[in-house]
Amino acid sequence: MKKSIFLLLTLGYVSMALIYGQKTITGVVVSADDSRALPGVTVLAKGTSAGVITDANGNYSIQVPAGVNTLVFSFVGMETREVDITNQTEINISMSPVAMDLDEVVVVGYGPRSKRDLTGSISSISGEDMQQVPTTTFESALQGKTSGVLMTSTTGKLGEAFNIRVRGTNSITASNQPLYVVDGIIIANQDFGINTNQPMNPLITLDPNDIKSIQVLKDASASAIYGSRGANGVVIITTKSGRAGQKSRIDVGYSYSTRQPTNQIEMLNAAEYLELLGEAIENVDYWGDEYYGPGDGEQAIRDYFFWPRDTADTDWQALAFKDQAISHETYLNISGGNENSAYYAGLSYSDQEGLLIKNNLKRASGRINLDHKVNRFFDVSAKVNYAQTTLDRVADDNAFATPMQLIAQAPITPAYLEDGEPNPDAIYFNSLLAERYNKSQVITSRTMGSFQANLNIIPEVLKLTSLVGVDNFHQREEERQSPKTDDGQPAGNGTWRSVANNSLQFDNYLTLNKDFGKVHSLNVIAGMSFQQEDFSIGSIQAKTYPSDAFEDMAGASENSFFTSQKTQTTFLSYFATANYKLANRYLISGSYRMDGSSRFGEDSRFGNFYSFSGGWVVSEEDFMERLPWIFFLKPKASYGMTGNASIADYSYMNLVDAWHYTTETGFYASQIGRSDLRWEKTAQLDVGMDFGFLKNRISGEFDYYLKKTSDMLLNRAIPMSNGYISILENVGEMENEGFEFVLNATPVFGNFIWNVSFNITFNENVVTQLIEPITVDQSRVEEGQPIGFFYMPEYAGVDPDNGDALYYTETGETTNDYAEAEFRNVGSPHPDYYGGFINSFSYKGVALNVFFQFVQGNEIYRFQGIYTSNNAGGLDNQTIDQMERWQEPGDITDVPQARLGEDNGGRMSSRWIEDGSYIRLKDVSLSYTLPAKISRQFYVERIKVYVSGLNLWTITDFEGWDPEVTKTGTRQSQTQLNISQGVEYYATPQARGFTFGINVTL
Amino acid sequence: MKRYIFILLIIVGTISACTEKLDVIPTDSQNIEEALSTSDGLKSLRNSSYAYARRNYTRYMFHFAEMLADTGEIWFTGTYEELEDLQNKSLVPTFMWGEYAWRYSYRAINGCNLILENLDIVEDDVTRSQLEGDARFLRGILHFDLTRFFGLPYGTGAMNSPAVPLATDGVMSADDLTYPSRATVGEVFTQVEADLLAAADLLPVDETFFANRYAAMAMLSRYYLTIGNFEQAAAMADSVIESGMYALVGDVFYAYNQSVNSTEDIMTWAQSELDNEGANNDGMTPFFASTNANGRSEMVITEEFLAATYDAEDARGIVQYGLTSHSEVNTMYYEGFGQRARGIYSAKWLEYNTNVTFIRLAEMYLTRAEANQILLDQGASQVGTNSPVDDINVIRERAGLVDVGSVTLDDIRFERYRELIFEGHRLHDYKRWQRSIGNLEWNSEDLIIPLPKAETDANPNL
Repeated sequence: MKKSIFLLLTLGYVSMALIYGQKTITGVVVSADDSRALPGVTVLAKGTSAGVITDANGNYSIQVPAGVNTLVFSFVGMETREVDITNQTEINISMSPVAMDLDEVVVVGYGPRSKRDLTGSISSISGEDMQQVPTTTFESALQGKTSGVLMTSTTGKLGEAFNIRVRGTNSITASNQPLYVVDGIIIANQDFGINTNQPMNPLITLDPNDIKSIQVLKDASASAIYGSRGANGVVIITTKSGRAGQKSRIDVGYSYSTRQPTNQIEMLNAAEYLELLGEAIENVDYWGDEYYGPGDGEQAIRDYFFWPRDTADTDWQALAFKDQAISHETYLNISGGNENSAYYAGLSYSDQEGLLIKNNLKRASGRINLDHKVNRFFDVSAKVNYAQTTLDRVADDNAFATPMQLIAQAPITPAYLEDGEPNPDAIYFNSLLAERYNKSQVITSRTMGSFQANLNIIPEVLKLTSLVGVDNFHQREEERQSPKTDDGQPAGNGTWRSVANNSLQFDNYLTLNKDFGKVHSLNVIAGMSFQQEDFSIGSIQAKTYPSDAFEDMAGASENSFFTSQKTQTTFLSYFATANYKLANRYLISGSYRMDGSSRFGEDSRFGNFYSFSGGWVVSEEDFMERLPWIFFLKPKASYGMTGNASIADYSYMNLVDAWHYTTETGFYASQIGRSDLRWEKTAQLDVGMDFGFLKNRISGEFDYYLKKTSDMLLNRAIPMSNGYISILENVGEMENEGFEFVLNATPVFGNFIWNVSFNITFNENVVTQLIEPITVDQSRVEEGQPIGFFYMPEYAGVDPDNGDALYYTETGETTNDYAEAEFRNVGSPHPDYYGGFINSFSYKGVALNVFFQFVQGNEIYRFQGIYTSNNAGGLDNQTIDQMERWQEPGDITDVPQARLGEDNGGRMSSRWIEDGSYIRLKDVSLSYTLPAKISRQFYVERIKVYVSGLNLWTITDFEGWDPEVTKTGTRQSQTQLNISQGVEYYATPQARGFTFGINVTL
Repeated sequence: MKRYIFILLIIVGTISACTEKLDVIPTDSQNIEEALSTSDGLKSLRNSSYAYARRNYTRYMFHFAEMLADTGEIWFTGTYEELEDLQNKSLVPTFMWGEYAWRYSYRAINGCNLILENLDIVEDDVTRSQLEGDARFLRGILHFDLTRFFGLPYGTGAMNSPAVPLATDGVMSADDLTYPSRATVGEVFTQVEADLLAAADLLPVDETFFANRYAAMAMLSRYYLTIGNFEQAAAMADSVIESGMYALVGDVFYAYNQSVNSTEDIMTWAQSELDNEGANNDGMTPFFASTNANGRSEMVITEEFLAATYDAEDARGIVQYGLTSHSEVNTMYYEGFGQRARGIYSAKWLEYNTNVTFIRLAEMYLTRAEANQILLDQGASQVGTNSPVDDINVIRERAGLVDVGSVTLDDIRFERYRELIFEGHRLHDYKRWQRSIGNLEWNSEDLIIPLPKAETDANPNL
């Protein structure tokens, strides 16, 4: 049924096609380089949507509406040409390759800038780049394609947090996620989910189809205009708009995807399980001198721990996943405009199945962007986006109720009873019961809107802009646990939680653009911004329901928990930026921003942030004419100071928080603060070069950067004997130093086009000053080391004489006593380098994209190894490698003797530290754009069909599920999340599969 | 153009109104100085201190005392590393429950210290006495139990061995922070005795929700037993028993899991539907219970223990079999019928939300009997009129056992063991009796909880 609705929608849009035409122009387009015919060139009647595409021989024929006197010829990689057609019927032209990147306009803070004139470091992704791969979150479209930006999905579960680090980790306690700005509005990107499950991604409401471009501001020059909030980089998202004078254009698309996990781990089958566990129970002489003898281990395991019916051979892991996760996505965009107005309207719907049983995400999104020119002094624009997502969630990775923990179950236990019910007597809680009887849903609705008015005081020169924006985020979480599950006992539990985060932003600024003669060019922006963010949460829990049929709390008879809370944050900022260009080649910029935040005490509330930068377009110089192969060359440098205030509200105060003793209300001394708490600051130096050679057939950029964070906001541990755990202070320093390199090339050009794009980033993080080390489980922060290195005893293998697990002591000897082992640095979760490599080929209407993404040099700690790979220390099923256990004196192996119920190598150690490097064929997609004469028979301008494969191939030595992982856990503070990286803990692997789709332009 | 100037004026007007918007104060917390400026504020602090003390015992210290002393009474079938480590006596400084016990104990102690430092603002004498009594009671028992778990057992040479930091000054701002070193067992115990004596003096006699005078005296009896002052131990227990305020309940099953204190409860930690200690993952009931309603069936009580401990007619050892409903449980043991049940379970921890048993009258009889027996064995005279054998027969009669004519010190201790097992006394009793646990000597380092690593990391003086 669902499919036929999609089909109907698609057909409906198609039938709306209209043809215009008054005059016919024909001709042929060739390449100026070699005079070969150019197929696939878009020929557009200027100011209309009437357009065609040249055929295989470069021929075209276009019907031009009356009154149009110009044709626009455009083609990727070629200079766009406009040709006057007055009194012409045949136009034959040649096209030359262009410096496509240099004319590009990018959106930086508070206005657009030509990329050519930039002195800052910015990565850009266009909407077209994103559309090559259908993605449900725009973040995944950036992965591997933007230098200096490391993106890691924390898990293959849907709707969960993305880790994004722009040029490394800067902070220990404050957030390290970049600032997100959508059409000028700073939007909330913190996790709003319940703390008994993992952090969620609030940006899933954004529809990638609406996005025109994404810019990531990386260096201080680019981000200082966002002052205090720019230290982690700024992601600027611009949504699509119509163009004034453009005839209506309609885009519709549909895609269908199938997904499976990238990898599964090989676990023991029933026979292997009994063999290993039987040996484990014999080795510890579990039964003393009772009725079992040597060789009776398997029987003893059965008798002690299992039921007579446990004679199955269950592959529990397979039960955690759907056979195929199927997703559908469809969209409809309409854009256009008349002389004074332009519009864009977008609608989309996606229905995505996750890999795990009972993990699904639906999103419906609508957007309207309007621009209107009242007169030459006044123009306005209004943008509104509404989106709703519905996420079916499973329990957190540390709960038996989550599907991934099914792998802990013993293979001899049947998953289901004869009557089809999940077996309630498995050794651990059988999460198939939770799947069948529990419910957990998160419904998010988000409205983002902005109204912008421009008062052109001196048209084209001086403009006053006033912008009011809102970002209203509302999320409702509903959980209902059946008494048939552990979490639902004794008579059913329910949770209802509602979060609202309402942000209001008010910006006013003046923009001056003035050229003084032909030599001087000045751009100045100055203004103020005020932002207020109100967060509130209400949560109730109830229990005791008559039956599972009663889903809501109307059916519950007891209240077990209730709360409501709210916080408010305000920011007040004044900013100015100036860009001066001399003789079109010498570039100087400066930015300043003063930020005040309610998060700091009165005396340290305001912070000053700034940047200076310069660039020199060497290729403009006359002397460069001797080097014609150098098309473009611009060395540049910047230095500046940005800040970070992503900390909890009220952190500088001494507070009491409510805590009751049954019916007696009360409070406890909950927080001590520093009244002089102030902004964390990051100074950044960037030196780089943009270049283009051979008419820009080869282009690229490289950047060296050095970031120093000081006055680091840090939740410093204090002796708990004071009654508190920590205090937030400005202590410590951290550095990130790195190098980014981007290279784009077009080795073959003509009918057949081959484009190559490669990017690589090296980053080194080191904590340069810290009062005392911080340990979060397996991860640690120490002076002179990267943040969150793995700190644990180093595993020294197995004693061949007795099968004992060994560790290294401080003196370098080995010991079988864990307490004697030395805690050491055994690896780093940070990659040495990462990047992507894209090859795209096109021939006539056929295009092939091959995209590799790589991450190299990081380690991953397989945390669940203490259960899944501990040589049968417990009843958990084991990974297959545990069969290599030590059995008799002289055995040389890494797996200690199996001993049930005893710790023999089962504690945290480097035994489960592994190389997390990988190279992955992230995407390979093949598309075919039907020749215009065929598509025209369907009354449409363009039809593109495609198939793409996601994560089809991965090279890695990592033995866990998937190297793209980071445990986020539950009830984790920001500090813990920042430090504890690169950990696998029953994490859902990434998805692999195919997408089939069609895009139609009317 | 004029109307645009008008717009401009509006904008400028709005901008200038913004600066005061940066003054944002919390609406769900309160500045501490303001919060502690009233008598009600001190009561609030007292209430939360009780709540954190309750958490400390219910989730952590009871488990410590039982599992660290366990030598096979419990077959633990769960996966909690903390419980495995306790039972295996293989504790490490990263033992998380040790850190939590430490954290919540000192949080409650800080609350007590802040109360004591701000008592002047309480005008009403009765209220002030009780608040001071509560603060000294909680501070006393928490220091006492922290020392018993984190310090060497009281005995030869232990007086001068390191215990835990002694916290007697309130901390309410960064200026108050201290980095204390460990006080000796003797130093902490001196403060404990002073606090509990003061509490016994200050607390009312008729309070049932919070601690009252008899709770303080009962804790003093534990304290004096621990330091070997048997005369005082017996005297304190005697005062509690002879006060006539308490009586053993007829059926021992109803001595536990009550929403309203039973007649033999001298003090419980109050708990209701509003609290989440029992149902919490770390509480006692989730591990001990195994019914269709409560518990994860992880603490199987071994048949060997039952056979060796209870006579056939002992009401404390009766096992019910074949039950199907939570409400049918009405004896001290039952065959588990919760999910993944593997055998017999104890009914001492059956409910999530009832009051938490902390000090029962039965303990006072056993304490008086033991202390008096030692006094008699030493040739001194007993305290009070009841002989040890009388006291033991009181306990035996309630258990449905016939009276005995005479008792030895070992009999008394065995009676104490089987009466109070799983209630958080075992480890302390074994150490007091200098009885080895498995192959570990009573004063073995392995029976001491290591100072939390988080604390030694944060405090160089430890």
